[in-house]
Amino acid sequence: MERVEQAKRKKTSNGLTDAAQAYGTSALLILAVLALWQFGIPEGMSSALPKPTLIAVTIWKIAPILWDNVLQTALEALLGFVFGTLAAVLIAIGFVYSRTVARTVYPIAVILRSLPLIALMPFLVSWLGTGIMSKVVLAALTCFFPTLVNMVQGLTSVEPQALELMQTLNANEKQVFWKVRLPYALPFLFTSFKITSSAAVLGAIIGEWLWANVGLGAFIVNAMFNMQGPELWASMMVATALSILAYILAVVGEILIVPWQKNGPKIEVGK
Amino acid sequence: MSAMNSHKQAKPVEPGRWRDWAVTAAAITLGLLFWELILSNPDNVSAINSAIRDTTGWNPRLRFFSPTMMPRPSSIARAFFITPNNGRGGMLFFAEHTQASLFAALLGFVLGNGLAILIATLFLYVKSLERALMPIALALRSIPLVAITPLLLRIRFTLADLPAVKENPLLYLLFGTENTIKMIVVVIIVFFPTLVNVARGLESVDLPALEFLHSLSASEWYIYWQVRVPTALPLAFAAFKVAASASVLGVVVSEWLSSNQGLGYIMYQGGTGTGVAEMWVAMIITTCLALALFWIVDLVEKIVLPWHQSVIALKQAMEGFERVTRIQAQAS
Repeated sequence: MERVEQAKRKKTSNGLTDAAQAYGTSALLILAVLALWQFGIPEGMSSALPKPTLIAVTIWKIAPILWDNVLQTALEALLGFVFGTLAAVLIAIGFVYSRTVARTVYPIAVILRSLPLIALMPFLVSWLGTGIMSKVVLAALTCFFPTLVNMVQGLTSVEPQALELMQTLNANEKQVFWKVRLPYALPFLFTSFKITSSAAVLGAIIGEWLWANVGLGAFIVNAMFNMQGPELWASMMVATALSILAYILAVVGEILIVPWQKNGPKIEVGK
Repeated sequence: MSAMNSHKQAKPVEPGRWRDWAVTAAAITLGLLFWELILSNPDNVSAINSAIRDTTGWNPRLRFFSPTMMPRPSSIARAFFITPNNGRGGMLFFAEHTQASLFAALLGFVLGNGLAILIATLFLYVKSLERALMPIALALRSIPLVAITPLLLRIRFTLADLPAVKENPLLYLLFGTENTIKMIVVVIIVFFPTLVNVARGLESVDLPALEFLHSLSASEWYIYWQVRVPTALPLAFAAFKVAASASVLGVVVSEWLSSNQGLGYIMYQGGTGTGVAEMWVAMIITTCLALALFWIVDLVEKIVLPWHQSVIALKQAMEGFERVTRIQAQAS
C-alpha cells in the first residue's frame, strides 16, 4: 500500500519521494517500537508501561471523563493565551514608541526571558489560590515573552523605504502604524503563536498538576499517584493531542490571516 | 515629519546601558520598600481595600496581599539567614536543598548535551540513521517534554517495587530514590534541541571549503575539527542557552511531584500554605541558578567563539540590530 503511494509520488516530484522515504523509515521505526512495546515488556513493568492496545482502549473507555478535563484545560490555555498575547502586544507597541517604557521594561524582560517561569507556579498558587486564575496567569506568562520579543522585532523590521514613502505621502502616526508597522509585524506575531499556542496548553497542564481538582494535568497526576498506568498514558496521549491541535490552529491561522511572507506586505496607499 | 520621528524612536534600546539598569534597580528597590511598609501592618491592606471600595464602589479584594501569602522582604531575608527551631530555614538548610537540585540539573545538562553531540556526530557519518531518526527528533524538539515528568516518575515507582531492583544495591541507588529520575528528566528535555541544532550545524558547512579540503586530501578527522565543529558551535551554544534554564526547570518540576529534598520540594510545601517565606527564598535561589547557568554558558561562548561575537557586532553595524536578533531567535 505504502509502496503504491510512494510510486505515485515518484512520478510527481523527486522531493516528495525523498520526504516519503524519510518519513517512511521513521514510521517503520515507530511501528517497530510499538510492536516491541506490545509484546516485549516484562510482566513486572506492565503497570507502568501498559500495552499500546490497552492504552487505546482506555482512551475510548474514559473518554467522557477526559472530555470534561480537556474542556477545563483548553479554557485555561485559551484565556492565558489571549491575555498573555494582548499584554505582550501592547507592551511591544509601548517599547517601540516610548523610550521610557523601553528603558524600564527592557532590562526586566531580558532577565525574565531566561527564567524557568513555570517554576513560579507555587507562588501563583499561594497568591491566587487553586482556582482557574493561577493556571490562566501561568499560561499567560508562558505566552508573554516569545510574543513580546517577536512583536518588537516585527514592529521594528519595517523597511526604511516604506517609512520614507509614508512620510512623502504625509501620513500621520496612526496611518503609519496601521498600514505599515502592523502588517509588517503580523507575520512575526504568527511565528510566535506557533510556539506560544502549545506552550499555553503546557502551562495550563503543569499548573493543574498539583493544585487543581479538574483539568488534564490534575487527572494525569492523580493517575500517577494512584498507580493507574493505562489511565495515565491515556490522559498523556490526549494532552499531547491537545497541544498538537493548538499548534495546528496557529499554523492554520497563519495561512489564513497572513498569507504574505516576511518580505513585507505591499503598501496600499490609503485614502 | 511624524513618520521620520517614529522611525528614529523605533531604534532598539542598547541593553547594556548602565543608566537603564540603574533605573530598573531603583524601581525594584522602591517596590521592595513599598512592599515592606505596606505589609508591616495587615490593617494597611484592608484600609486601602475599603478606601478603594468606598470611592469607586468596586471591591478590589486585596486580601491576596496579606503577610501570610506575600511575606515581607524582611521575613524572606530572615527565613534565609536565621535557622528556626524546627530546622526548616537558614543558610545551611537552603544550601543542602540547593545542592541536591543543582547536582541533578548540572549532571543532566552535561549528560543530555554530551549525548546529543555524540548522536549528532553519528548522524553525520551514518546517513541512514539520520534519515530514520531526524524526523522524530524534529517533532520531539518542539514538544515541551517537561510535561512527560509524571510518566517517568510512574515508571520509577514501578521500578523501585521490582524485586530485582530492591535486591541489587546499585540498581536501588539508581531507582530507589528520585535523584536519578530528576537527572533523566533534564537529559530528555535538553537532548532534542541540542541534537537538532548540532546536527544542522555540522552539516551547514561551506561547500567550497569542503571541496577545497577534499582536493588537498584532508582527513575526515581534520575536516571535522577544523571546519564542521567551528560551524556548528554558534548553533550549539544557542541550544545550550535554552537548555540552561530548562535544566533547572526540569529538576524543580520533578521535585514538586515527588521528592523530599530540593528547591522544588520547598516550593511545593510553600504552595500548600506552610512555609511561604521559605518558598520565596527557594524561588529566588532557583531564579539565580537559572540566570547563573545562562550567564556561564554565555561567558563560555564569548571565550570559545570570540570571532562569532565580532561577526555579530559587524553584522549589527551593517544590517541593524533587529535583523541579527531575528537570526538568533530562529537559531534558538
